[in-house]
Order: sequence, then structure tokens, then C-alpha cells
Amino acid sequence: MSFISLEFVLLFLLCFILYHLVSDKGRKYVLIAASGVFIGYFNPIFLVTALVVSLFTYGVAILVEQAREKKRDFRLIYWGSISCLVLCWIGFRYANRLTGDSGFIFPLGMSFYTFQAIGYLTEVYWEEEKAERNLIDFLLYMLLFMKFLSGPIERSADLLPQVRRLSPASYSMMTYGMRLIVIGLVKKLVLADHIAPYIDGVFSSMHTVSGVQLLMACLLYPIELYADFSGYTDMAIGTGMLFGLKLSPNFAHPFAAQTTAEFWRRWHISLSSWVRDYIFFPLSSVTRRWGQWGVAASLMVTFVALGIWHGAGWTFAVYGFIQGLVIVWELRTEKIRNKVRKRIGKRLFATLSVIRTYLIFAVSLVFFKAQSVSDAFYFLRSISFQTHASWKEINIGMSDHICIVAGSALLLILLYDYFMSKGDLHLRFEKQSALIRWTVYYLIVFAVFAYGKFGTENFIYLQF
Amino acid sequence: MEKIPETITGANIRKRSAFSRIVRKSVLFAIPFWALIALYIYDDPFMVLRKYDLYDSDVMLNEHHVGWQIYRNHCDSVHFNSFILGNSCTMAFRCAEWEKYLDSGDRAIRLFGNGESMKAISLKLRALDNEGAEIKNVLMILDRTSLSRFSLLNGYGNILPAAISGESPFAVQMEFIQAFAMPDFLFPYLKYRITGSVEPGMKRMNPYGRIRDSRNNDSFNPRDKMIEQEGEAYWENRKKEFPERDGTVVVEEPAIFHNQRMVLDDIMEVLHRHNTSVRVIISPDYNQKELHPDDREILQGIFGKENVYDFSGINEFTEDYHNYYESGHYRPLLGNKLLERIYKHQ
Repeated sequence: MSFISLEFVLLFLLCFILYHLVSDKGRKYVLIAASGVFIGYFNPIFLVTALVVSLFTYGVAILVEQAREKKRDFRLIYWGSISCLVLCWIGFRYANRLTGDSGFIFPLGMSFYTFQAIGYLTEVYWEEEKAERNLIDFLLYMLLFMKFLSGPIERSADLLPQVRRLSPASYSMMTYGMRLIVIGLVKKLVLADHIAPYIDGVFSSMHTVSGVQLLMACLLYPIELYADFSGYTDMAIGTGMLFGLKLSPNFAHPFAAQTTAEFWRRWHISLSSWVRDYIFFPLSSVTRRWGQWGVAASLMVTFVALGIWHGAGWTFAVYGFIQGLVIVWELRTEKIRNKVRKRIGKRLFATLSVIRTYLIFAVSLVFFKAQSVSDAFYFLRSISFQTHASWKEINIGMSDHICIVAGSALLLILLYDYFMSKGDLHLRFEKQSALIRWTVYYLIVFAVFAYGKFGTENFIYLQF
Repeated sequence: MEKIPETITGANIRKRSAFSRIVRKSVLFAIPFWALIALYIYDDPFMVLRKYDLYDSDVMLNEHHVGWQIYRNHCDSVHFNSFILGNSCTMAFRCAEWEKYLDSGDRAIRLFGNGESMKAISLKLRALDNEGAEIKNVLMILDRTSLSRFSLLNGYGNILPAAISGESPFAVQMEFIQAFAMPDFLFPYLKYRITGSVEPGMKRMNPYGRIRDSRNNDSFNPRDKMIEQEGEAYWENRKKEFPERDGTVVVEEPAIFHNQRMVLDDIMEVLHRHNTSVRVIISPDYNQKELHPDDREILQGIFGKENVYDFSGINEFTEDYHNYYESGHYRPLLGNKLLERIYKHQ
């Protein structure tokens, strides 16, 4: 069930009410039951797969800890279990291609919880974390419904302590969570879902549309992806807050980034910090002897892995490769860029850098979105300012109504991001009078109600 | 986010107070929305929540829904086997008139949509097929715009009933609730609710009263009355609605590409299975723009050369402006002539 479905609303309401009515101990069971229903509702097999991975990780972590205490070879257990998790994940990911059975479905959320499991095992292996002995707590850490489908990929140090002492949220935490849910709905329903069909249309008929339509689809897709994924994340974090849980932030106004390296500190933070900590740092310590080439090689491997995490296929590898290549290039040209900054002034340089970073990301996303590498190259080759008939093609088929609604939503979201970057807007907003707060609440909720595009329950990151 | 107050952990704090406060406030906050939804359910302004015997309303209704409901209301008592499909120009074709050219006992119904897309026609035929209907005759009224539309249109006036599109009924109903909540409809509607009269300029309201036959969805165009009353002055007074035509031949851009072709093949697949007698009419466009020859050829290739009748461009039917209500729609007077031409041609 999707966050934007009647079934989820009912499950959430039931879970929310029960959670606040039952005893301290009962809360964990309410959440675990709700998570089980949430996952199993898609397909019971998904629940079984998630449970198997969770139980396996739970057991292996204890084994690693016990083996270390008894001075046995815990490295073998660790590497063996990591290999099992990775092979299992790759197996499911490539099952379609390996078996030739196109009906094979990749279990929802598997990329997220597998990476969470690997992160947890590594923390236990590095002795940064104690292995969790309470099975219910561990299952909650792995399967919590609000972050199960598309993250954030939670670190055990952040989430496990919260899960251990589950308690109801304060009133202000709950209202904060509700506001985040509404903002997520605005991003998803008023922006992403309005423009998505038109961008999809251009990508699916890239051989017949005009150059200017390809250009617009290329420029708009990062906005769609951001609105879709950060909308989901806002809803996940907001839902967590209603249960007194603080999930990790996944986005920090990424389109303000001046370099691609900075962009990845702001975009899908839980994944980029995961690959940094568990792939890049270990790799760069191994390749330290090679100097700058070692850093470059580690970066390339890390970003290709990040790309491949998104799915089977060369398109995702190329997407990651481009990110890695640009970051290596940025490292190598830092001095030149500093000189340019001095010459043209900070402000102009910052503006141009923001635009450059956005454009690089938009171009790389063509590989992310296209069905094949050759399609992506065709798409990029065909981008131009040429039209088939008139300049009206620039709206890629969107009606004036959709342009106005989605454009206004984009503007509001960018303003919201800007003010959030200057300090927590929610906390400042809480200090306003009730009249102002409620007027704004009504306007936003009414906008979602009247202008939201209901009916599409899918999120882009569900496929990963 | 770091600065927000922590979760309640102290045992002395009343744990349910925050919960009951948020529930209280949420209920209070939602009252206007519940009131709106209650009014919507009570009034059912678009006539989509309940079944009705007569689909007449002071509100402009969704024609797909109305057509489908009229079909469902009568299909047990009337053996509909002939279907007029296409865009709003189907208003020129009266079921009784068409039935004259069909086998005796054949009964027709009009299942149209404003600005109809080919995809909607395809889904309607599939839905009829799934219902077990006999699809003996089909009259398709199309133009370039309809031919170019291979995906469904959205908005309350264009969304297909869930029974036809296969979409979730919740999503379909949401579209109507949203249309109801739009300020440009809601405020005039509330005024109409209070005064009981439809004023000119009220968006999405129908000031003309009865505009369709509740047995076969034939159109009653209120302009017929105006023409009857005004005579020749009807066209004299509405010159803005009848732009000048300079008599030069204009061929439109091609409309049928790969995606459109696939939808047309889907349509033909259903018709082929039912051994349907199909007639495709390209409407006589007042602006006298001609359908691209490639499109005509594709249509003839799919439906058969003898079944495609292209009346677009400059011809005897488009020359006389008396045949038109306005530049977008023509009168049953012309519809009858076209039927005569088609069936005499046989």
C-alpha cells in the first residue's frame, strides 16, 4: 500500500490511535503489526523476504560479537554474511535477467533494508555498536513501515535507541510531523504527479518529439524526481514524528549546491553518507598509497556502486560514473575555479555554479531515466531549440492550468527550501498567532485537496 | 529539526494529553472539509454517487458517465447493439435517424465524450465487450483532434467511469470532489444553492434545462430553439462564431503516429471480433481544413476503404454555414445528409 492510498490512511489511523492507547510494552507490538500488514499487503512474499533478511542479520550480528568475545575468527562470519546479503540482493535484482522470467518481482524496499542490514553488521564488526539482543527492537529497526519502502536508510546508532524506548511524541513533535506530511503531499501531488505524465510522455516518444521538448523534459526531470522523492521522505519523516521517532533527513535543499560533491551531501543523504562510510572510506584507506589517483579511483568505484544500487542495467552504472567523474574533475580543478571566482566575483560565480551543477545532474538523469544507454545518447544528441510546429511545444503538452499549478507549487517549494536553509521555518512558524497559522494551514490543505493529482499511488523510488 | 522538543519520556507526564490534544484540534480543523464533503454527498451535483433515472441537471455533467449510466439503466430492457461513438459532433446524429439505415430491431445509443480521445473510444468498446454487449454497428464521429489523442484526458468533464477505464473508483470520485471544491465552481454553486437559479457566467453550470434524451442520450441542443426563433438572424447576430473562410485549401498536419496507430488497432480488434459493421466519419469542419491524406490512408487501411468517409475540407457540406451551430459543431440537418450519403453510397 502506498502512502497516498485509502488503505494506508486507515492503517495509519488505526495504528496511531492504538499506539497512544496501549501500554508502553504494547506500542512495539502495534508498530510491528502495522509494519507487517503494510509490507505483506503488497505481497506476502515481500514480508517473508524482509523477515528472512532481518532474522539473518540479527543472528549474524550476535554471532560476530560472540566470536569476537571468544577470540574466534569473527571476520569470516562477517565477510560471509555480507557476501550472503549482497549476493541475495544481486540475485533478486538480476533475477529477471538470469532466469529470463520477466514476471519475477524485485521485493519492495529490499535495496533499502539490505543496505541498512549491511551498515548495522559493519558497525557491530567495527565495534561501534553492540549487537541488538531484543528481537522485537531489531525487527522494528529493520521493518518500520514509514521508512520501509524508500528509506531513509537508517543507521543503527540513530534509530535503535529510539526504538528501544518507544514513547508517545510531544504535541509540538506531532504538529511538526503533520506539517511535514502536508509539505510532502504538496511536493508529490501538486508538483511531481502533475508534471510526471508529460515528462514520461517525452521520454517514451523521444524519437518523434521535437528538440525543444527533449530539452524541457531533461530540465524538468530533476524537479519531478526531487518533488517525488523528497515528498515521500517528508511524509515518512512526518509519520515517524507522529510516533515519536526522528528519522534521518534525506534532502537539504540540493538545488542550492554549487558543486556536484556538495550536491551529493544534500541529495539522498542517507544513501550518499552510507556509500561514503561503508565504501568510500574503507576503499580510500586501502588506496591511500596511490595518492590522488587512489582518491579518484575510490570515488569512481563508490559512485558507480551508488548508481548500480538503483537497478540492474548499464544506464544506472553510467549515471553513477558521470557523478564520480564530475566530482574527480571538481577536485582536480579546484584551484582554477578559485581563480575564476576571484575574477568574476563570488555572487556571479555562485549563481553560475548552481546552474552548472543542476545542468550536470539533469544530463546524468537522462541515463537514470532512459531505457538503454543508446536511448540516453540519442536523447542527449537530439536536444535542441528546434520545434516541430510552434514554440508552444515548450510546455511538453501540459495545459496552462497544469503549468500554473505546478509552477506555483515549484515556486513555493523552492521558497520553503530557501527559508529552511536559513533556519527551521517550522519552529519560527509555531511562534506566529493561531489565526495566521490556521489560515496558512487551511490554504495549503485546500490547495492539496483542490489541486492535487490523486490516483497515482506510485513513487519513483519504489522501484529501487 | 534538531531543536524540536524530544519525545515524552518522563513517567509523570500525562502521556495521552498530547494525543487527545492533536485529535481534538485535527477534528476541529477538518470541520469545514467535512461540511464540504457532506454537502457534496447530499447534493451529488455531478450525479456520480447515486443512480438516477433521468440525467438532467443544472450542473454540466460528465458525458462519459451519463452515457454509460443511460446504457446501464436500459440495457436490460432495450437490446442496444448499435453505438454512436466519438466527440461532441455526435450531437448531429440522432439515434432514431441512424436506426432507419440499420436492420429492423437494431437499437442505437450515443456514448460520446467532449473532445473524445481514441483511447476513450477503445476503452468504451472494451467495456461493452466485457459487459457482453453485442456490438453490431458502430458509427464513429472523429476529427483530427480526436485522432491525435492516444491517451485519456483528465479533469472531471473528461474522466471515464471506473467501470470503463479500470481505474480505482476512489481516484475517479476524487476528481469529481476536487472539481466541486474548485473555487470557480464552488462559490457560484453555493450561490445557486441559495437562490435556486443559474445565472449567466456561472462556470460549469447548465442554464438550458433538459439537453439530452434519457433513453438513448440523443442531444437536445438549446441552439435549435434559438435558430427556430431567430431564423436567418441567428447567423447574422453571431458572426464572431463564424470566422471568414477564404476558400484556400489547407491540409492539416498528420495526426496518426505509432501510439495512435496502436489504439486504432485495439479498436479494430474488438470490432473484428464482433464482426461489427463500422462507419468512420471525419466531421465536415467549418474551417474547411482537410485531414492529412496519410491519416486518411491509415484509417482506410485499418477500417476498410469503404467504411471511412472523410467530409473535411472544402465541399458541399462545409460550404453552407446554415449547417452549423457555431464553427465547432454542426446540426442534425447536416448529420442526416451525411448518413444519407454514407448509406446511399453502399
